[in-house]
Amino acid sequence: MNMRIKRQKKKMGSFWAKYAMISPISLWMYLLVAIPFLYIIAISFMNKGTYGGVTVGFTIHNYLDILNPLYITTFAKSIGISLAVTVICLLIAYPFAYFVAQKKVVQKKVLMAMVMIPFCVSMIIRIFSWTNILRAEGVINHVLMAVGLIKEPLKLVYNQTGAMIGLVYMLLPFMILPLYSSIEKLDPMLLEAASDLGARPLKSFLQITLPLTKAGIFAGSVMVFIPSMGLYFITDLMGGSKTLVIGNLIKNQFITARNWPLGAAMSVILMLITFGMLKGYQAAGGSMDDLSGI
Amino acid sequence: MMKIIKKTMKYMRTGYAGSKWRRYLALTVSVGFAISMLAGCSSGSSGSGDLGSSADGLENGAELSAENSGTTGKQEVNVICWTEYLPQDVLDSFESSTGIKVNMTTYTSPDDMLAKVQTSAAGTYDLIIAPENYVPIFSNQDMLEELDREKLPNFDNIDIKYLGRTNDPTNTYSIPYMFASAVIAVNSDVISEDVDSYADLLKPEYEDKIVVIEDSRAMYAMAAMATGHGAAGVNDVSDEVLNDVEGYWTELFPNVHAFDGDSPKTLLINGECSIGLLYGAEALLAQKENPAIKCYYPEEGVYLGADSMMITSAAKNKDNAYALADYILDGEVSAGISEIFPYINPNAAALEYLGTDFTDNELTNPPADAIGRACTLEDIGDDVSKIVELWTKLKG
Repeated sequence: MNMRIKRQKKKMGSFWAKYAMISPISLWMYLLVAIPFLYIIAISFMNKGTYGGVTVGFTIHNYLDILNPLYITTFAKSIGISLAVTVICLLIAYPFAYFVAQKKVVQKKVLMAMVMIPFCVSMIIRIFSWTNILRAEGVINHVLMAVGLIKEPLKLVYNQTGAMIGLVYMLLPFMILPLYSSIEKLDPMLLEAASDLGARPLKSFLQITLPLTKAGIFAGSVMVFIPSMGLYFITDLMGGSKTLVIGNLIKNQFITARNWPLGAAMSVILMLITFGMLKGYQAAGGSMDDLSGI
Repeated sequence: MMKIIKKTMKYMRTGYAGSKWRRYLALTVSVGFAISMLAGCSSGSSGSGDLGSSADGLENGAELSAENSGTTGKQEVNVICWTEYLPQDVLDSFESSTGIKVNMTTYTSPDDMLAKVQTSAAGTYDLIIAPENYVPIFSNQDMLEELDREKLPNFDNIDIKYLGRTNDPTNTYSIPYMFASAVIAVNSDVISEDVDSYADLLKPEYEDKIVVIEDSRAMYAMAAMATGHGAAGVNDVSDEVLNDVEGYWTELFPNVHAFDGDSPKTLLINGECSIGLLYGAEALLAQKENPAIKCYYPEEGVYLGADSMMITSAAKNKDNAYALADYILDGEVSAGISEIFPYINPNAAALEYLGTDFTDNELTNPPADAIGRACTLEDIGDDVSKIVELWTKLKG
């Protein structure tokens, strides 16, 4: 009997220690993730207040409102833009990550640090710098015209091209990091073996490198595709406010139209799209751990 | 009691049931933490609220609370205002002459301002400086103080022609701060002809040359006037006006290079655009950088908006808010504001301090005929979503 109580006491001690350690992180998750998430879902079923805010009640008409062809088209266009951004990021990031992975340890660290360092500067400042570089009288057009390659300045900013450049630039590191970590794990002996057995570089790339780095490709694509639908300030500042992503739609509903429930319903749809993407990613054999980057 | 403990212990030892029980406990512990933290926040704010209301309950509540905060801390006033609208110099000199510290919150879009004010606790902001069509929005929700003119001796400095506008006909809740017009600004180095009407903007040779302010309400107003609906059309969202506005914008869209809500003048100054549809003060600043920029009040009707000062009914520093508003209404101070941000100044006393540069320029002192064809934006409630929907359609 005595022994049993002692054992139980010991159990109780470790039990409290465990919860003392878990509670800060679960508190964090409840306050900053779960509660806002549930709040958004809740107000998406309420009625709008005239001057913003919501009036309590239950309705599904916010979801029916999204079926408006206007919003469906914008959603579709936004998804199209995101797909294009993802493909462009992949085409740039893959060779880069491959190149870095072949380098010596120090060079690798330096090159990867160069990918990360821009994050130390505010996104908005980097966006403004880009508009200055890309505009009609900016550096790029000046140089190209001085060299004589073009006669008229190229329209690189304040249009869809500008928005795409901004999105690709901003999201490229999220593609590079998972790709790099999966390419780096690749065993070079496999490629040597392939070449010994007579495979040409293209064949060994398609049959060995690509399948083995699939996890990185999927993870990078998910991490580029999802945020690209929401980064509304990039389309505002670099796209001259002329193209809309889903983020712009949501922002306009919350801010300009003062229709919080409709904005919330759109957010829920965006979350469902994200969730669907992640499920698809898992179904394709992706691991959630790969999404954390390095 | 023993039974329960025994049962609990048993649950803790057994596999599945134990883990379920622990999950519940983890949930309870963390929710408990969350609640206690939230409760901590709210008890803090209600505490200060109590202090305010007990002071209000006394007859000389204002003096007492002033004394109170004098001993406990610095006097302050919380203001929300557009960016680039109320110069820091003015706030500094107010602080040094009265000892009241001004805490500024700024916004770049009035819709952001509305969201901020609505979502903050009542009394977060003492003084609101915002477009006049927001006055009825706030006053209908009983959020505004009925102004006590005795506390605003400088109110009489306002030129009477700027008072009694539709949004607050008796100026019960609001004091005009500055007026802003929207004009067509043209870089005459690039474009030699006059562009003095909204219809001119549609010319195909201006393709991709125009920068436009990002403000759906203002844009709607201008398109309504452009299509012959006059000043009354700007608050009208009937299908007829909506269709006409859509028609005008569809035609204008290829000529728009960019929408910019923050600083449209930049694109005009750096040569990216040669025509701008922008606020008068922005145009004036562009003109200072490049004298070749010419400005026109469009023929079909002028967009004219007033910004008003309002004091919130729940203000925690009401007397300080009165003091600041009255300070701003002083002729010399108001002239100082106009020197930095040259909007149209309704303060007659200020005009005496401002030179002929200010009074002779049409941008800062519009001619009577331009004022005559100007519109007033009114609150249109839920109908604003029709404008947003149209805007989405045009851009999407």
